[in-house]
Order: sequence, then structure tokens, then C-alpha cells
Amino acid sequence: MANMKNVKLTNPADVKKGEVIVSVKDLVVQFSVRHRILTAIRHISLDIYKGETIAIVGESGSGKSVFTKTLTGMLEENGRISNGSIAYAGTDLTQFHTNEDWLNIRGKRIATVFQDPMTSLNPLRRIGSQITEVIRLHRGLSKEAAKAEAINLLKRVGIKDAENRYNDYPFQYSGGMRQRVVIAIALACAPDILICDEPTTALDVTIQAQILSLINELKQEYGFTVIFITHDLGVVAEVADRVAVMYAGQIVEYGTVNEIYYDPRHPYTWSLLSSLPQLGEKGETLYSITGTPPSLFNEIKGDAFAPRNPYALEIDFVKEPPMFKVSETHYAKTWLLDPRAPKVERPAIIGEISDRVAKIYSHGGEE
Amino acid sequence: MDTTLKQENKFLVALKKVGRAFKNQTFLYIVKRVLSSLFTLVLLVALVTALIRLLPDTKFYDVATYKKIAGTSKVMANRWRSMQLFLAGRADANGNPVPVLYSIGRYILNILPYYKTIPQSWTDYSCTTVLESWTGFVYLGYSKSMSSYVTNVIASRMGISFRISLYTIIFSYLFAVPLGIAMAKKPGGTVDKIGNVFIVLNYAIPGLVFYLVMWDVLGNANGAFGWANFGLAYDETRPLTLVPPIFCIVFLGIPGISIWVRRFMIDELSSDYVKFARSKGLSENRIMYTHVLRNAMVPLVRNIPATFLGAIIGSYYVEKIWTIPGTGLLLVKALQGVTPDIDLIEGLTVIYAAISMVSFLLGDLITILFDPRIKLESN
Repeated sequence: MANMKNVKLTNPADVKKGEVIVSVKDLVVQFSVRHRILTAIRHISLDIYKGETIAIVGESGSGKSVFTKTLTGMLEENGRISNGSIAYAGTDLTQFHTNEDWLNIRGKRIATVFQDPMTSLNPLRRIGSQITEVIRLHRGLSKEAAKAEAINLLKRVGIKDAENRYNDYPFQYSGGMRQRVVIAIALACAPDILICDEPTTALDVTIQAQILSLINELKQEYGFTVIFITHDLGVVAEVADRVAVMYAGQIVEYGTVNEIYYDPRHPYTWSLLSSLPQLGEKGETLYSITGTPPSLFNEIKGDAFAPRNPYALEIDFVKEPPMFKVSETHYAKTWLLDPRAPKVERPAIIGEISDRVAKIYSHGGEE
Repeated sequence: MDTTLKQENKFLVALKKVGRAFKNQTFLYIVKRVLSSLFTLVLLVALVTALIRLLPDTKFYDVATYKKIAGTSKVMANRWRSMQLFLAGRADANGNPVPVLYSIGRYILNILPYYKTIPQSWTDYSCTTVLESWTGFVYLGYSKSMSSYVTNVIASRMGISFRISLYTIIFSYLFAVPLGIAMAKKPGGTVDKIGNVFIVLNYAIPGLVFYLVMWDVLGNANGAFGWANFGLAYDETRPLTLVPPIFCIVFLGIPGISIWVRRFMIDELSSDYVKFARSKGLSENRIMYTHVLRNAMVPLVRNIPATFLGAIIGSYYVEKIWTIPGTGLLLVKALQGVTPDIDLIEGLTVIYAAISMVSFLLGDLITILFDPRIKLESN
């Protein structure tokens, strides 16, 4: 393998807002688990545009996190990309293999905010040193300059009294404050792309709202692209421009937020939206999807969602559907969109969803 | 007038300092720990003294000698016996038995660290002074087998054990920690496998056999290491003679440290902050040395004082094989004579107990230095 450390990456400023920044083509990720092959990502293709916030939603085990891990080479030891390409900054990221290859990408160009702020920071090192570490490494600033920069960042993410709290340890911070520090670290090198891997799941609701609005503000200010992983569709409505819905290692539908919320086409997206607790009415039984996702150890025939899908057609069990185009920005992977398919009425709740969403968010549902 | 004011102020400042120290939780904790350790020590002394008093008088003088003297003069023999019992602290100068509580109380007073004189002088019936009176801080009795005061015996022998222990600790950690790190870097990799083989083999070798083989291999003037002239026995004028025993202890001690370093490193490596550090773009080596190592050392440093002070107690085999005049041999020596050297045994018991209490306290204090999350509180 050639030394990938010296690969020339193009300048992120060369990509204009709205142009494709990451292009994933036919990606397959496999893990070897006790001598068996688990295919976690099955032929995903997706373009991500500069400056947008794209949310990737789906239930646990659908491959959301694995997908974003391939962007920073953070797959577990037993995982590998067995097919496809990821084009970013003029290189194919699937060519990177060792941790050393990735050093110029991670933190510097693509930063990640993880789910649990309580464990993301080293408990035995001062907050300040954990921030300056990155600044000095990637930006080569002096010790004093890095400290000044770190304090600025802490202030920017909303840590009060940043000068004094610079020398604190993580255990002296609350969960929300720690997530702010993690965001400050992620921002330290003004990255191109910020991957947020369920950044608010471990936080309580009021803090969630603060962190979300902080990420939104910072995005406006720094102009980076956000890839937002979540299983909370309420969060998606608040932050995302576009949504990609994942099921069993595939993207089954993607489109703008409005398209996904008001005109969903895939039965899985219908089920997801129908089971949103925020959209439930008092007294009604909350919808839940029956069955369990298929085991990714086995080869999946046809549409992976078919066995759980009340609208499944016979062909769903035989042949995998292609991506059907709904509009320029909206695609869905279901045979229901085929001209030959019978007309299917989608669940009533989907029709009412716009009213319900409007009702919740006009009342300020996050308060 | 002015000067008195100044003096008062100085006094007040000093008083305030003391007051502040007492508000410091860590300081209070240490004071509390020391006091409770002393209390434990007192209980231990009471228990040991009471147990020793349960021994029959005949353990404290040689019955054969008594009979031999009695063959000539019964009075002289009794006189001799009461002297032995007095020296053992079981009877007063007139030969009357001493109550157990009195023995306990006296022993406790003797070990309390204040400057005192023990009027031990004893004149036998021929008017010769058998024993000098003793002055010093901690009095632990008189060792029959070493013909000297227990405090002096232990003090004179602790130096060499202390030195060996210091070198052993330094070299053990110097070799064992990098080995543990190298093994943890890639669990299941080549280095890890070789390390594991080394550790298993090392554990499989019986210590005594290893000592004896190394004693010959390293020390024999005609052997492979004859040129180094390590020698077969310790010689205080030649520090090089310490190399073989220190090598043996370090070599056999490495696995015990390495496996724990490896284990704690691997534990830390799988934690979230390491993943986050990696996503920050830090290199693996940097993560290893600036993040993981220190965190992995926290549970290990706690044991360093205990290992160090434990080594002062000495190793019987090492001291026997290389004839090192350390503390390791003392306990065996005390048990070997015709009558056991009770004062030495009790003295060593007290010293060892005190050492382990101090090392636990030091271990706790070192842990706070390493882990800011831990706060010692007095209540």
C-alpha cells in the first residue's frame, strides 16, 4: 500500500456551498464476527452537499453509525469496506487503511461529536489541555496562542467564566457543558464536515434543545456541513435540511425534510412517522412496527422490510426494488412507486401529520 | 509594646495556619487515618502480648540449663530463672508474676514514639550489671538471639533491605511497564504472544530454583559471567555483588506488573474517550502515552508503596543465598534458638504491621495525586 499520509487533499474552500462535498458510491461494509460475515452496509449511494445538514435516521442496528464511521476510518478492527468508493476532497477515502493514513482527515477536516458526553472526555485530564491538544496538533499554534484560542472556543460554545474553567476536570462539568466542550474540540480546527452521532440522546430535553440550537448557530457561523445521526424524528425536524432513512443497511428513502415529513413514499418511513410519540393523540394507541429487522448475517432477498410491511407486494419478497425518483431531490426504494404497482392508500396519520407537526411546533413543543 | 504586639501577631498567624490546616479535608483525613492506624496497632499489641502470656514459663528459659545449675545450687538456679523471666517481662525484679494488663500497657507505652529511658538495668547476685538501661524513642525489647536491642537489630539490618528494595522497584517498573504497553498495543499480535509466553514461563519457574541457578550462572568466577566478577556472596565494599539478587527479584517480579499494565491499558483503550481522541486525529502513540497510560496507571500506583515497603521486610531466600544481612532472615533466626526470641518476634510483628499501615496510607495519597476525581474526606 502506498503511503497515504502524503496524499494531497484539495482545499475545502474550492467546494462552493451547495456543491457535492462527499460522494458515496455503492458502499458495502462487512464485519467478520466469529467466522461469519455480517453485511452492515449494503450498497449505499449518497451525495452530501456542502453547507447542508443531512440527518440519517433509522432504528438501532440499521447501520447509521457504521456508515458515518467509514468517513473517518473509525470502523472497528473486524470491519472493512468491501466495495464502493467515498469521494472527498479529491481522494477516495476507501484507500485509507491505517490509523496514520487518517491523521490528516480526522479532527482536521472531518470532526465527530459522539453520543455520550460523559465518557467522551478523558476524565483525568484538564478540559483546557484536551482542547489545546488538537489546536496545537492541527494548527501548530504556540502554547499561549492555543490557550487563548481554546478559551475563545469555550466562550463561543457557551461556557461561562471560561478563563477559570479552563483548568477544570471533566467531572466538574455537567453533561450539557461537557457536550459543549466536545463540540468546542470538534470545532477547534474549523472542520469541513461535522458528524454528530446522536449528540443529544444522552442529554435531558431542555439541554437537548440548547445543544441543537448551538450546533445550528455554529453551522451558520462556520459554514460546515453537518451529518446528523439520530433516531429521534423530532430532532430531525428541528435541525435537518435533508433526511436519509436507513433500514437494514440500506438507504430506503431520502429527500428534503418537507418531502420526508409531508410526502413520505416508503412504507418504512410511514411506519416510522406513525410511531412518533410526539405525533400521537391522547387516547389513541401509539403505532408500533411489528416484528424485528432481518439478521444481516444472512443474504437478504427482495425488500428487507417486506416481512414487517403490511403493504408488501409479492415482488417485494423476490426482487430488491431500485431507487425510484419522486422528485429531483426525493428518492425512495419501494416497488409501490413502480407504475405497474397497485394504488395503495397510506396510513391516515401521515395525511394529518402536517397539522400535528404544526400544532406541536407552533406551541414550542421543546419547552 | 511594639515587640509584644508583633509577637502576638506571629502567634496569631501561626494559630490561623494551624486552623486552616484543620479545615483542609485531606489533612484531616491523614490525621484520622494515622490515629486509627495507631489504634489498630495498639489492639494488635494487646492481642499479641496476651497470646504470648499464654505460653508456659518454660518457653522463656532453657530447662536443661536450669537443671544443671540446680544440681549445684537450687537457690542459684531459681535466681537464674527469675532473671530470665524478668528479662522476658513475665515477672518483676523480685520474681513475682506480672499481670497481663500491665504487660500490655507497658508494651504500648514502650512503642509510643516519645523520648524515654527504660530502666532495664539488672544486677545479678554477683553484683555485675547484666543489662544497660536504654534510651530512645521506640523500645521493642531485647533480642536474645542477636544479643542486642530489637530496635537496633532491625535498624541496622533495614538499610541493606531498603536499598535492594529501592533498586528492585525502579528496575521492575522500568522493564515491566514498557512490556505491558507493548503487549496492549496489539492484543493477540506478535509482541503480545511473545510477552504471554514469557509471562507463563516466568510464572512456571519455581523461585528458589531460579535463584540457585542464577546464583551459580551469574556469580561463578569460571561461568559465563565470570568476567563481570559479581561474586557468590554479598560484600558491602563491592556494590556489584548486589547485581545477581536484584536481577533475580526484578526478573521474577516483571510478569506481576506487566499483566496488570496490559490489562488496564486494554480496558482504557476500549473506552469512549480514546475513540474521541482518535477522531480528533491524534496518532496511536500519542493516544497511548498522553491519554491511556496515565489512566491505566491509577489502579497500579496505589500498590507501589506497598510493594516498596513490603520489600523492606526482605526475602528470606535471597538473603540466605547471597548472605545479605537484611531483615528477611530475622524471623527465622528468632524462631531457631533453644527458646524462641519472643521480643524479636513481637517487635517484628509490630514493625511489619506499622509498615503495612503506612504503605496503605501512602498508596491512598498517591492515588489522589493521580486521580483528581478522588477526594479524601474525614467523615
